Amino acid sequence: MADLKDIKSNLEDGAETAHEAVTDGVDAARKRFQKLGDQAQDQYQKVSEQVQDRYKKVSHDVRRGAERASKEIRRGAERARETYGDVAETAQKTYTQVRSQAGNVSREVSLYVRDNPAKAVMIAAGVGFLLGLVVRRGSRDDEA
Amino acid sequence: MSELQEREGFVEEILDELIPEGVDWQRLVVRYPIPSLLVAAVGGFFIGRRHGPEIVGALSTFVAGEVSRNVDQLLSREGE
Repeated sequence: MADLKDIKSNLEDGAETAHEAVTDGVDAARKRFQKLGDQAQDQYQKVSEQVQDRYKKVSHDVRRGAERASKEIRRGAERARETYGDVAETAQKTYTQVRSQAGNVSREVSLYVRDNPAKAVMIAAGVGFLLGLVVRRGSRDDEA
Repeated sequence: MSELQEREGFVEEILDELIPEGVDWQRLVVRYPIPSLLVAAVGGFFIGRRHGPEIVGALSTFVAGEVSRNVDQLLSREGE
């Protein structure tokens, strides 16, 4: 009877010890897992922060680059517009000048022709005659 | 002044001979100066292109004949 009691008490002790050991093991495992989880979370957070920082930096750089490019494009367009304006103005002035000069020359020629019709016609015919001679010689030289 | 007028008269005579009688070329030239010049230049161009060398040859022969005639006259005057 005493033996049975001893056995029972031994078994109970063993079970208790086993239970404690399992409990300790589970606690240790839980703690370790928690630590690992915390470490992983820290790591993840760090990596996430780094990625966010990099993203912010890259996005800032890209925005600055885009702003700079936009400024350059705007400046270039303004410069091109100014240049175009200058060229157009110069062309307009030149055209007006040439037109005015051509008008003056035409008026003077008309006046001269009205004053000396025979002379003017003979001079024009003579110039045409000389040009015809030159062209004839040029074409002959080309043929030869 | 008279020499100039004579020369202009000579040119007008040539033009009167070249241009048909019915055409009042002086009135046309005074009325349309630039087109008249262009027509004259184009006409001269085609004449020069087609008969240029012959005309130049004839002119040079005429000038040479005139020069030799004048020289002969001068020499004969000096001889007298």
